[in-house]
Amino acid sequence: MAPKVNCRFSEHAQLLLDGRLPAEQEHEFRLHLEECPTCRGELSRLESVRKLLCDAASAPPPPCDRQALEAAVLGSPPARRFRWWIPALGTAMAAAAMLLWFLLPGGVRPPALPEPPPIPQAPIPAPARQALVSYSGSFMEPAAAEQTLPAVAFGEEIQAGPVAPLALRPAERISLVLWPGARIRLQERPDRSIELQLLSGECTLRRLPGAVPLRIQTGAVALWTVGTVLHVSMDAQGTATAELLEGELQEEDETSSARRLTAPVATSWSAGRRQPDRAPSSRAAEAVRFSKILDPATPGELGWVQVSSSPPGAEVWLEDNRLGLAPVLISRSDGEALELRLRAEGRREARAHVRIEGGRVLRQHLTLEPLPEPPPPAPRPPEDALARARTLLAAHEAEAAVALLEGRLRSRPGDVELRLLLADALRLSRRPEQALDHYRQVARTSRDPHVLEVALFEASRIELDVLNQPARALETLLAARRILPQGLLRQEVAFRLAECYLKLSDFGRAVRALQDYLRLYPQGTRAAEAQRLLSDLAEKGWR
Amino acid sequence: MPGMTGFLPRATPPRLSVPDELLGRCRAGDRDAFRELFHIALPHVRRILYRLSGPVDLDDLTQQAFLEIFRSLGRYQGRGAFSSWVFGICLRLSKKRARGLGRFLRFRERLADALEPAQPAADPESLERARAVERTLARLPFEQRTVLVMFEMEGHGGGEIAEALGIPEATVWTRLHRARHHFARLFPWPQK
Repeated sequence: MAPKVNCRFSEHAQLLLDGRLPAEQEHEFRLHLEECPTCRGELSRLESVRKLLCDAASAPPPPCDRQALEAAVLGSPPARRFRWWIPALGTAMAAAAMLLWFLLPGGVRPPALPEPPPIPQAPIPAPARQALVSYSGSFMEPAAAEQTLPAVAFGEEIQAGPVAPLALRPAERISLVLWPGARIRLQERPDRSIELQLLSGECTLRRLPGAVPLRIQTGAVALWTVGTVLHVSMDAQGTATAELLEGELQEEDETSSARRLTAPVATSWSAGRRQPDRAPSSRAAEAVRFSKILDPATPGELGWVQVSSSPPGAEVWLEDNRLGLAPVLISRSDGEALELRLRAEGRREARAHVRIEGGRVLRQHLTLEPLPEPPPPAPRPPEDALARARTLLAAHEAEAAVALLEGRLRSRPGDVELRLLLADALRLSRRPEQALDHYRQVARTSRDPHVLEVALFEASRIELDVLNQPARALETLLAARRILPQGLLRQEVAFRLAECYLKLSDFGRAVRALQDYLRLYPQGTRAAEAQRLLSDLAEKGWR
Repeated sequence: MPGMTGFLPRATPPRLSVPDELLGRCRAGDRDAFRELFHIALPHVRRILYRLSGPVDLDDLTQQAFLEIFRSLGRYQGRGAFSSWVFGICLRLSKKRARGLGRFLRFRERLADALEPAQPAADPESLERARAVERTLARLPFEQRTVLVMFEMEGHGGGEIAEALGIPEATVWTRLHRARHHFARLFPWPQK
C-alpha cells in the first residue's frame, strides 16, 4: 500500500530504492522519515521486498549436467537422457497425425521415426540427437487440442512413436495418453465395456464419472477401474505396475483372492506375484499432470480442487464414485460444479459444493464432526426390584413402592421404565404434581414412542382430572396424537380431547371431537358416553 | 514483515563478460570457441532463465537459449552490453514459453507446492522463504516480473532494461514500482 497521496514524499521511497533520488532530497527524505510513520512503513515494506529478492538472488539455480547440456547444444552424444516428456510433448501433434495414418484402413505405415525437427543454421553444427528446439508449444493451443483423434480403432495394435506421446479417447469420458514407445490394444467387450491391453511401455488414463467400465489387462494382471486416474506400465522384464492417484481399482486375479485398491497406492506384479504396496511415484504424478494437459476428453481449461479432511483419510465421494482417501487432488473442467461428500466411520458425513475454476487449485478442507456418543444403555434394574414394586402397588402400598423405586432411580436415573413406574406410584400415593414431573421427564427422554404415548396420556389425565388444567391437558393430548397418531391409546386420546374442549367451554370443537370419535370408533369403549354428551350438547343447541 | 533499519543495496551478481576475440572466433564457426562461450555463459543464462521461468524445464530452456545465442550471434554488433543482449534472448524465450505454454505455466505455478525445491537450503525456513519468493515471482505479470528480476536480482540499470525490452525508461520505472507493490501484496509474510 502506497503512503497517503497528500504526502509530498509519497514517491520518495521508490525513488530511493531506484537510486534516482538526488542527494539533497535524500537528506530531506531521511528527516521526513523520522516524523512520518506512513513513509517509514512504506520504505520498510519495500526494503523487505528488496531483502527477499536479494537473498533469493544469491541462491543459485538448480544444478545441471553440464556435459549433457553441452552435448545437446554442441552436438556430441548426450551423456544421459533429458527429461523424456519434453521432446515427447514437442512432437505430440505430429505423432497424432502419424497415428491417423496407422488407423486409416489400408493406410501406409509411416517410418518409425518422425521427421527430424528443424536444426539451427550454420555456424552451429547440427545436433546429433533429436534436438529439443523444435517444440513450440503449439500443442497447447485449443485449436491444436481439437485435432486430437476422437476415437481409435478397436482390435489393432497401437504404438506410440519413440518421441511423442499419443492422446487418445477410446470412449466418452475416458482419456488415454500413451507415453513414447508404449504399445497397447483396445477392445470393446460384449457388455460395451472397454478393455485396454497394455503390451509394453507406460500409459496414463483417466476415467471420468459416467464413463463405461474399463478393464485393464497387462500380462497376467487384470484390473477394473472405478472412476480412476491411473498410471500403468509394463517393463521389459514383464513387471506390471499400476500407480493409482484417484479412485479405485478392483483386481481380477484368478490365482488369489481379488482385492480392491484405493488411491493413492502403487502396486507391482512380477512373475505372477504381487509385490508389496507402496506410494505412487512422483514420476507417475507428473505423468498424470501432463496427461491432463493433453487430455482430449476434458474440454476447456482444467482446474483442480485439493480435498483434505479432518481427521485425515476420509473417503472422498463424487456422485456415486469413491475417489479415494483424503487428501486427493481432483481435476475437472473450468466451471464444472461438484458435490463432494466425505465419509469416515464414526463421523457425520460432510458435504461441499465446489465450482472448478480453470487454471486454479482450490482447496477444500472439510471437518467431519464425530457422531454423538449413544447414551450407554442403562443397566437394567434387577427384575425383582420392578416386580417387587408392582407387587407393592397391587397391594395398594404405594408409598413403599415409591420409596423402593426412588432408591433404585438414584443409581439408574436413565431407566425410563423405572421412572414410569415411579410416576404411577406417586399418582397412586396422591402426589400428582410429582407424578406429573416424572411423566413429563419420561416423555422427554424416552426413545420408545409407545412409552412416550403412555407418559403423555398419563400426564394429561393428571392435568385434566386432578389439577384441572384443561388447556395444558389439551396441549399434551394433541402432542401425543401428533407423535403417534396410530398409538395404542388413540381411542382414549380422541375421547379425552373432547373432554378438554368441554371443560374449556369450547362446545363447537367438543361436538366435532365427539363426532370424530364416534365416526372412528363407533363401537368404542366410550361410544355410549360420547353419544350421551352429543345429545346433551344438541339440547343446548350445539350440533 | 520485518522492520528495516537502513537502505539496502540491491543484488549485483557478476556480469557476463565475454572477450570480443572469443565472440569473433564464434562468428567464424570455431567449434572450440562455441564450447568456451557455452561454459562462460552457462551460469549467467541459467540464472536468468531460472529467475524468469522457474525450475521447470530449465535444462530445455537453457538449451534453446544457447542455440538461439549461437544462431543469432552474427546479428550482435557489440553496441550494447553482451550480457544485456543475452538477457534479451532469455527474455524472449521465457516470454514465448509463458505465452505459448500459458496453461502449463499457470498449472505449474498453482502447483508450485508440489515442485521439487530448487536448491537444498541450509534450514527449512530459508528454503520455504526461497520457494515463497519463487512462487510470488511466478504470480506477477510477466512484464513486472521481468523488470523486478532485471533490476533487483540481476543488477541492471533502468536504461539497460529499457534497451533490452525496447520500451521507454520511464515505463521501466513505472513497471518496477508496480512490481514492488504487487510483490509485497502477494508475498505470504509471516504472521507477527
